Amino acid sequence: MHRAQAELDASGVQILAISTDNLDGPAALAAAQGYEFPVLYTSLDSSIPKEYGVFDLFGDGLASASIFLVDTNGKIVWQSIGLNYTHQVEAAEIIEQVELLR
Amino acid sequence: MTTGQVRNSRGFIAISFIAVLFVLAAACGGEVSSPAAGGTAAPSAEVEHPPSSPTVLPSATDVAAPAVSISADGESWEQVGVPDSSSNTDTTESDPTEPPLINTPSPVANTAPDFTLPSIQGVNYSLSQFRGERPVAVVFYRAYW
Repeated sequence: MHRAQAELDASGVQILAISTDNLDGPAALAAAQGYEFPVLYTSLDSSIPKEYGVFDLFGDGLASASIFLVDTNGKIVWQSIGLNYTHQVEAAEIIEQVELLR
Repeated sequence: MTTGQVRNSRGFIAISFIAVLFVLAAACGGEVSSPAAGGTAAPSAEVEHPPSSPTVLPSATDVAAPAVSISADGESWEQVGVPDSSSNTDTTESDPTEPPLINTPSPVANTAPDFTLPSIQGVNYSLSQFRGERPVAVVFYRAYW
């Protein structure tokens, strides 16, 4: 994810990572603080993942691993919703979509 | 004695290993050669069929032969069509049960829902603060990401 961060920075995308995990633990905090992008947390409020339609898809009370690419007008131009536990999106895939915005 | 037994056992293992290799090589050779033979045989069979069917049409009696062929084709298409429709309904019924999803993702409006959230870096971020500046990748992540 660090290399992805560098590639995405070069493409001009702002990453906002949103976690529904419990980030209160010091170990989780330390691991997350290694990220250079903002890591937001919604441990007490699941309304935002619900608004994005990705909350509790697996019945575990967490958001599924999903990415929404929002353009400068606030419109969702691309999305990748995790429909299984192993879902991951490559940074190159996001960058490709960002290039399509221009 | 023990070293001799060890050498004998090693030699036996080596010989058996080589034998296995030969068997594998023979099996691979057989697999490679048999499709090649089938490939050469299949085109010749296909080439033989087109000349045979045109020769049948002019040589056959004008009335009886076309009537038989049409009815045979109609029966065959009906027999194929019925199992296809039943299998299609089976697949559509079995598909929703296979995914592990408990809830289905709800569609999101074209406009991304705005939010303001605290970050572990201690600063609040909102989606709308980047409007007009940069595209934003909103990443819902789980612990391993």
